[in-house]
Amino acid sequence: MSKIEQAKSEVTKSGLSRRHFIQAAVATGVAVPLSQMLGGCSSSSESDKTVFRVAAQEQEGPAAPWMTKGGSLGILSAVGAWLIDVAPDGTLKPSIATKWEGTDAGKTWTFTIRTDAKFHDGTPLTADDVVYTIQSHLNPDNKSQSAGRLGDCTSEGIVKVDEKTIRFDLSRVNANFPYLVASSNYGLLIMKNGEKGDESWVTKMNGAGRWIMVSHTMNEKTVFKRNPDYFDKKRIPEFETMEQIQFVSQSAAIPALKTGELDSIHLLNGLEAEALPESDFYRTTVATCGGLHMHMRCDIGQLTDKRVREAIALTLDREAYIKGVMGGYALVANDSVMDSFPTADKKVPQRKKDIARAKELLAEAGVPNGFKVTLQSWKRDDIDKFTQFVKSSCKEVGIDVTVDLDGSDGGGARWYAYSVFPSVKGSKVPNKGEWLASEFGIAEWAGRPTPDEYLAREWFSSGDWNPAYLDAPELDEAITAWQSALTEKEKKNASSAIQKASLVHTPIIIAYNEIRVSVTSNKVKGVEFNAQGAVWSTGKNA
Amino acid sequence: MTDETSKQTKQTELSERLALLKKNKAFIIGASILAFWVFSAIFGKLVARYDQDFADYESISSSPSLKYWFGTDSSGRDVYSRVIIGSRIIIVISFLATLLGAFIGASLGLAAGYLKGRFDMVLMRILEAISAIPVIIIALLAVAAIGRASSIITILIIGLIFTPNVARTVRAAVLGESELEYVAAAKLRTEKTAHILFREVLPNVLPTLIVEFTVRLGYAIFAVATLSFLGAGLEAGSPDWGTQVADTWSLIFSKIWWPTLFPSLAIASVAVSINLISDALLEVFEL
Repeated sequence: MSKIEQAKSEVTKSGLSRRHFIQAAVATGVAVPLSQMLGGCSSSSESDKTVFRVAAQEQEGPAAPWMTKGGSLGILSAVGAWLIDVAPDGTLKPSIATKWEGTDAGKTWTFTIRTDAKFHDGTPLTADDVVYTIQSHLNPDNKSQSAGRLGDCTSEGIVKVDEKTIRFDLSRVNANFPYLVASSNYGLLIMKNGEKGDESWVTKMNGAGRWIMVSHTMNEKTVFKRNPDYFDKKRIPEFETMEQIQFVSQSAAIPALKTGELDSIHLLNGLEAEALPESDFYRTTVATCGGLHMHMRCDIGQLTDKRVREAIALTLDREAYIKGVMGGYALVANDSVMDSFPTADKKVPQRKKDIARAKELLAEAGVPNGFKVTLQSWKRDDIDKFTQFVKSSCKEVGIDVTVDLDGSDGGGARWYAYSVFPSVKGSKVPNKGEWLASEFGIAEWAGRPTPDEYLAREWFSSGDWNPAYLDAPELDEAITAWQSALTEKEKKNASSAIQKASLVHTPIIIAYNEIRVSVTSNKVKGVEFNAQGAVWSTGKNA
Repeated sequence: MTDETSKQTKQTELSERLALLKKNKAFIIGASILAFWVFSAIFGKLVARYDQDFADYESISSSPSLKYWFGTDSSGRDVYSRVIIGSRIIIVISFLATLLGAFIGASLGLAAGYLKGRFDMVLMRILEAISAIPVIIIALLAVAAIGRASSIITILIIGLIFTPNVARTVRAAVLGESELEYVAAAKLRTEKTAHILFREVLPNVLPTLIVEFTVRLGYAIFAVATLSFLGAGLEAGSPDWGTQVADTWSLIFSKIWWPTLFPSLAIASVAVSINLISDALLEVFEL
């Protein structure tokens, strides 16, 4: 037990004597920092190379296909298999579908299904399972979090052509449809026909992925064994067992990594990763379009004036934050989800810190001396730091930001307590401490290989996860144009229009796109992660 | 001995004990440390070198230096300034919480010790039941039930939690006092019960109450810091010491110890100073 834990334990006991009281105070105050100052903390032990232990974020909900939430991605990525995989470099790789083809200008998509895939219970995976899985997400009774990801796909439009072929007849053109059913949409892992993707799924986790769940205790530890029947052995690292251990923060996992109790930490702060000696650990990075999206409600509250929203965006010194706090492990973003993709219009001017202009905008909006506002989100390493960045930046123009971070069980317990559109959207009650009801809030979005899901769910006026409640026809038109764009030129034009409309309205501030950092012990080789946290083999196993 | 003579004797005794207190080394050291933090709490903005939220992104997690005496944290904020400004939060909250507990506890203790009988029995059983539950557990449950923490809620929770301890201590002292002649004399004068309790008995149990107050203040400092450390205290990123320790302790493992060490030392120094004061009071007043 650590000194801090001892101190916490002491004060939770009744009858704390004054002697113990002082001991606890001194232990907390002095012993831990001094011990670190004097002795460091690295004492690695010989790692068992048949077991791979990785630190995972706290779960914000059950690891079930219909109920996907942040901390569960690593678990779902281990047990699940999707129609298509997203590789660490962001490219699409065949998985359950061996090939796919779009016709009718992208309104119809046909997938060829492999016949050698099996669920963990030994049942062969068939086309019926694929049809069932997608239809189950679209069934409103199941309240799937992933329903909104499927865009223009309807239950009737999913057709089993034969035992090896599935056809999707979309209600309108979507050139990027394969990305919507890929592993980046982690809830869409293929389920066995008839099984429910709710909390009951967690007891067996009957996927068809690389790893078979052996035991699972939510927010503690999940143990997996290697799936001997997995159809693509090149993608699975050569460990017999993998353990995902949940930590309240990735920083808190560092001691366990140093002492050899862990082999790897995914999503570590860049500066903290660099502080770990290269003689013992190696870093892998994945550039993503994911990161923190800070929304400002456009329909009610104090941020309805777009000049106020722009003023807040102009207080942020993004480059300094990325360089200083993130150790350079991010790319500057320009308040749209298009910035990190190759189709982005690089001529759109990058927003930079401009306090004078921000003050002008506030004066024009009738709040020259600023105002008080509450920024809500949940407690997590990167969110903690970013909220303080926003608070100190806004202070320069007189905006007094109170930070309200939910710290309960990973935070998502309250923060993600939303109802699917339109029930919450219609209620228009801000600041209920929930993502879709907060006036000024931050949600974390994992990386996606294309911006389609962000656009459809977060930025489109009728999107089910549109936290800013922006209703801008020109943005909707640009998004529609993007979805139907088939050529590179059409995509670039649509992207440019989306980027410009995003800057005009500033419904969401995206200050940076993450470069996700993983740190792994040198005793373990051949491991990398994709943008969703799935463990991949580099093909160079120890 | 007459009522008046009894009072005069006690006042002389009090003066002598206060003179002894002023010469007590533990008291002088404790009071000096506490005085420094009280000064920081009142004039913190003048003593601090930077705004509590000012972030220098070119000096993230910088070790102590001439520019940043206690170094900077992982957001580039000056640890020294945040420790100084953070003193106001913890000292004010702890003091007000203890004052609340002392006021309610003393009132109940006076009434229970003086009235005795069924009122005393029922009240003390209730207070004992409350005392049986650990302080932090009650505080965490209360914060969870209310839904969010704030300074006022923290003050109310800690104040109410400390009430039973103060009440029991004051009651014990009042039980002895209530048998003395000056109380009997006041009864003969047909003084009202409130007058007897607050004008006659209270001054005579004041030393006991003051010592209990200082002991509770020490606990309050630690309770506020602990609640903040556990995330049930104040606003995220607040410069209060418990939140600072909670926000930075994991950096220790990256050898960034200064954002944790200095607020922790501050907590320890206040806690120790109050204990030195209460020890001195115990010694001087022979309680």
